This record gives sequence, structure tokens and C-alpha cells, in this order.
Amino acid sequence: MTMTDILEKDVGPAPATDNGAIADASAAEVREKIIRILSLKKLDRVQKYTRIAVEVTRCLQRRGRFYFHAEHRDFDTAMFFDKVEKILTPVRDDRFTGWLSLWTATNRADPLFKYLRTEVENVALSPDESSGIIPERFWARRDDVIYVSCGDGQLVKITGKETKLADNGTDDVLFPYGSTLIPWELTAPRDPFETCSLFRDIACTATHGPDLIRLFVLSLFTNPRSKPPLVASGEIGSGKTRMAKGIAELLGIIERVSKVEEAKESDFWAAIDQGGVLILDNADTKVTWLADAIANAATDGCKIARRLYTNSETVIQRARSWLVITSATPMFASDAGLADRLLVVRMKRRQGDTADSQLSEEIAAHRDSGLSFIAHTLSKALADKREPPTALNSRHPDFASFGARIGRAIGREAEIIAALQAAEADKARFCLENDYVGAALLATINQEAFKGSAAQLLERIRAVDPELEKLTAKKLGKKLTTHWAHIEGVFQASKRVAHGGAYEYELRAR
Amino acid sequence: MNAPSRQPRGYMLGGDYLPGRTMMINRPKPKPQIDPATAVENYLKGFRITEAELWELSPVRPDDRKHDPVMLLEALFGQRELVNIVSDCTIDESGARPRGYGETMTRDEWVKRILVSGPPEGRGGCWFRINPVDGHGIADANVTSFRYALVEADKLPTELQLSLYAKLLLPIAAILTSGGRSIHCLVRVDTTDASDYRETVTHILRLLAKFGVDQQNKNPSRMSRLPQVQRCVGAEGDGMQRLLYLNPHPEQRRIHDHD
Repeated sequence: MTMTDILEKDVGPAPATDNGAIADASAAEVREKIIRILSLKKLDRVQKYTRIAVEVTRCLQRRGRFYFHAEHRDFDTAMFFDKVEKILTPVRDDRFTGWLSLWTATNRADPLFKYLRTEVENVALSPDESSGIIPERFWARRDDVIYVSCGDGQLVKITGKETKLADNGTDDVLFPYGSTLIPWELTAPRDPFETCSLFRDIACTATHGPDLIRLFVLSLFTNPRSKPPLVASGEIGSGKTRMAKGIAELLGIIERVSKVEEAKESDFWAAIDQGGVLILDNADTKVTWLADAIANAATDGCKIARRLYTNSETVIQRARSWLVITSATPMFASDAGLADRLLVVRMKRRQGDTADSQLSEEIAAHRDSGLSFIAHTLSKALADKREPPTALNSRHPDFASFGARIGRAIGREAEIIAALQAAEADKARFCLENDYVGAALLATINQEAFKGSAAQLLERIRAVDPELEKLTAKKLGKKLTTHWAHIEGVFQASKRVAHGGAYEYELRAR
Repeated sequence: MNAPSRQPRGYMLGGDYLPGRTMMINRPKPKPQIDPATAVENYLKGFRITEAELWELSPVRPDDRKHDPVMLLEALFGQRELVNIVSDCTIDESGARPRGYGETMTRDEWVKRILVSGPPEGRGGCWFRINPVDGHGIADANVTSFRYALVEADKLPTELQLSLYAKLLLPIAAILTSGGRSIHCLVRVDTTDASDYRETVTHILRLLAKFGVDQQNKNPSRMSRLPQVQRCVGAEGDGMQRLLYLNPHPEQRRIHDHD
């Protein structure tokens, strides 16, 4: 018999809780106060309800703390942090209202409950009694400390010295209810790129591809302000989407796989504001907003949108998520500005087949050790104060420099640096490959060098791609100007002003 | 056309809704509630114990009361285990509450310090964490050994609290007065990890809920009062925090079996 069995035999069974409410001292205290006020004969109903609402919020402040969203400052985003359960919930959330109803033993249909709710909302938004915060999502970073949520109520704190489990709210880092990874345990670390066949057998055309994906996964918790989007490009059956979903499974977050549609830019910003990882699947068709939106999101951009049903109020949607884009024909990459911000992994068709459920089961079985591996790797990288090499990624230097430290931490510094350098060099080619003019240039210049005007170059590329017949020399000149940085990256290219002010171009294969 | 209807009002609703009849709603009768003090009285069946009698039953009784905190720390913690003690406090309308991280040292370091300069004291008294910590913080996650649980029922008169603890079938390691209305009882649970601790302690507290036992003491980083420290805020009587019972190797049996 266990200790509790013996005790139960002695004192009898535990009393049933009423409606499942938590039978704790704070509940007993608040209920006693409600009954005491209700039985005061001198007060009318409104006075009683008002006084009860004040008492209930005082009891709530003893049990926890109120917060409001520092950017939104509205009732919808006002929150309560329960210090007993270590859970942060919006005060308008069903979970909180249900709990409040049970805690106070007040039916939600009772007019008294309306007084409780409004008082709670007022206090939660009052600067004197509440504090403004930006609630974190899934993981967070403060200088040299990384926090990774571990179910609702706990987090793993990663510093250069150690990796340890702590309560939600540690160092004022608060993860709201639901914005957390599925609970995981700190255990013996094992590299998920060795234990999970989905990642181990990833089919990339270039040797640096798996290292780039590994670096992307290991960097997720570092939360740099500018996050490079990972583009998995390859033919159908190369496992692009499965790889992206596998990352979400490893992390223990809901797989958010979104379709890209012309009229859905607002959906994109709402989704990317949610944090975690957002997967844009099959981004093959030309969508006018996509390239600009991704480029904006990749450099810590935001969208200021009008609040629904208002004339002048605005809401800010930020790029809090990492982006994974899968595409067989990435038309969006022809945008010269965007191509510079991407991490490109070219994938090839997989040989053989593995059951989808088997891959998921394998990831689930090795999730604890995999996340522990990431946590320990980050701890080592945080402790590493040696200067990493520079100029590894011109657009995301923070990501690249910490990536080099991660490389050292896993004993693959040379490979990771080589992968970053290869990815940097590949950006220009990736842009040209996905542009009509760029693709024609690649086809013709690789065969024979060119020297001449835009009009002469137009004749050359029309011979390769007859569909370019509508293109004029003037438009080609503009195209060459916008893509010149990438052209220089792929070819030995130079231009000079010739007689008459027109440019003369010289292009030859490297 | 304007002639009054001969049917009774509400006849179209059918059923029992007829004038002169009341609609009955079948509500379950509320179960009779027994207040905690009565529940304890029923359990004790007339048994009572005083502080002096409890002290007589204590397996460890220092000759000098000044040595109570040292004896307590030596009985509860291993010599190299880190013990967290807090004497700084916040004072508000509800009384004194521990403030800040306090100090964390090994048990032996605390023993030496207390023997030289006495236990740390504040206006609200002095608190110690009932389980050893790792020295990096005071949260539940910093607890290194899930050994003791805190049982208290400060809504009961102190006489009933004492008698209840003396009769409960629990492995009680220590009983201490808080210097206020509450008496703290440290139960040895020896759980393996945080989830085991929470499950076991929640079960114990639920079983004792009818006696008015505080249901919030579920987490392992709870604090109790260090003996031989006098509190000024929220004090009852002289406000002295006292050790009443100490058993370094408790077994699951009653302290006093009056039957």
C-alpha cells in the first residue's frame, strides 16, 4: 500500500470538488468574500456586485498578476498570469472565463459574472495595476539567454553555462497558454539529423544542402530579428513539404502549411505574426505581393493594417515566424531584392519510399533527445566568445555569425562555413534561373561571351528564348540594371557608357 | 371576434403550464457541508494534545532551545545540500511575505553561521525552503530533491491543528509553529521527481481538504518557518517560531496513538 492509500483508509476519501473547480485556499477565500458581501443588507444589488468585483480582482492579484499587450493595449489582449499554475491567459479567453466562473463559483450566466469580467478587464488594462509586455511565442531570446517553452507552465532556460528547466515567467519571459511547444524533457542529447531518417536521408543536389537545413533548424531558437527564409526548391517528390513538416513535428508545434493566393496577403501577415514556423507550400504561381512580403518579413518588417470595423485605428503585424517556402518553380525568386535574402536548398527526387507515419513516429521517438541536442548546442554556442568569420551572409550577418558558432559547437565549423559561403554564392544564380531574361542569359553566355549594347544582347537572348520577342532593348536595359548585382555574381560582368550615352555590356562565364 | 377566449391563459403551451400550477424544477439537493473544525473534531474523537506533550513525544529534543534551528537543518538536509533561507519580507495588509531570493548555502555553512551569529531575522520572521535547491534559483525547477511536503491548516484553532497532526497517519518529520496562527507540518514524501511530487502531494492535500488543509502547498519550493526566530508582523502571542516535534527518520504511523 502506498502512503496515500494508508492515509485514505484512515481519514476517508477525498471530497468531490464542485464542478471540477480547484478546491484551493484562494477559491475558498474569494467565495467567502462573495457570500459575505451578498449578505450585507444595507447595500443594493449594484453596490454589492461592484464591491464583489473589486474584491475578486484583489484576490486575483494575490494569486497572480495582470498584463496588457504593450503594442495593442486593448481588452482583447489583456492577460492574467496565474502564479500557481504558471500560465498566462488572455482575460477574454474561454479558458480564463471558465476558470474564473468555477473559481468564484459564479455561473457565467449570472449578471454578477458580467461585473466580474468588466472589472477584471479594467484592472488588466490599467497602467497602475498591470504591466505592458509583448508575450513570447514558443521561444524567446534576451541577450545571451535563450528560453524555449516546454508545455504550458514551464520553459527551458539556455545560457552559456547551463541548460535547465524553469517555470514560465522566469526572468519575466512569459509564454501565453497555447503558444508553447508540446512538453519535452531534457535528456541525453542526440543529433536529430542522425537519429531521424527524414533529416538524415534528405535528398539535396548540392553537398552543402543538408548542412544548411541543419543550421536552419539549430538556429530557430536564437530568434534573430531578421530571419532568412528557407527555400526548398526541387521537383515533385523530392520531399520538400515533408521536410518542412518534419521540422514542425520535431519542435512540437502545429504544422501551419499555408497556400499562397493572390487575394490573401492579409492572411500571410496574420499567420507570420503567430511565431514559430510558417510553411508556404507550393509557392509556384506568380503572386504579385509575395516577393515584396517575403523580403519585408525577412528583414524584421511589419505590416500596419487598419483594425477591422474602425476608421483610423491600426494594428501592427510583425514577422515573428521563421519561413519555410517549398516550390518546384519559384517564380518569386526572380525578384532581385528578395533573392538576396533567401537560404536556398535545392532538392532532388527521393529514391524509394518510407511510410509517412513511420517518419513521424521516428521523430516523435527522438524528439526529447533532438531538442536536448539543440539546447545543448546553443548553450555551447552562447559560451563561445571567439569572433566568427565575417561576410558569410550579407543580408543576415547575425544569423550567419551565430551559425558559425553553432558549427563550432557541433564540431562542423568548416562544413557550416562552407555551406553558408556556397549558399551566398548560389543566391545570384537562383535569382537568374527563375527570371526569363536571367535564364536566357545563363543559356547563352555560358556558351559564348558577349560584348555589346542592350539591343545586340536582345538579339542573342531571343535566339535562345523566342518568347522574349515582346521585350524591347530599353526594357532589357532596365532589367539588367535591377539584376546587375546578381549578374556580377554569376558572370564576369562589366558595363561602361559608350558613345551616345548607352551602356555597353561585357559578359563572360566564370 | 372580440369575445374573450374560454381557454385558460397559456393553454397552447400544453403540458403542466396551467394557471394555478407552479412549474417545478428538479434541482439536486445540495450535500450537507461539514465545516473543517467539526470534521477535525469528528476525526479526533475527543483526542487533544498540547505543545508540551508533543515535545515529549519528539524523538529529537535539543537541551538548549537555541539549537533548534541547527537540529532542524541537520535532520532535514544532507550536509552538502543547498538550503535557501529568506529573512527579508514585504509587509502589506495581509501580513508579511518573503521577498527576494534570500541566501542559499550548504547545510553545514548554515549550521556554522547560526551557531556563531544566530539565525537571520527580519520583521516578518524567517523562512526556509523545505526542500534542497540547486543554488541557481528558488523556483520549483531549482529543487534538487523532492523529499518533504508542507501541510498547514491555519483556519483551524491551533489546538485542533496540533491534535490533528499528532493523530494523522503520516510520516511527519517536523512540526513547527509559525509565530502566528498557523502550525506547519513537514511530511516526508520521498518522491522521485517533480511530477511524482505534485501527484503525491496533491493527493495528500485532497484527502485532507475536509480538515481545512491549505490546498495551495503543492509545489516543492514551499517555505516553512525557521525556529527560534521572533516575528513582529502578524504575530500571535510572543511571535516566536518554535520547533515542536522533530523526527529525522519518520515512519508512517501516528505520533500519538490514543486508542
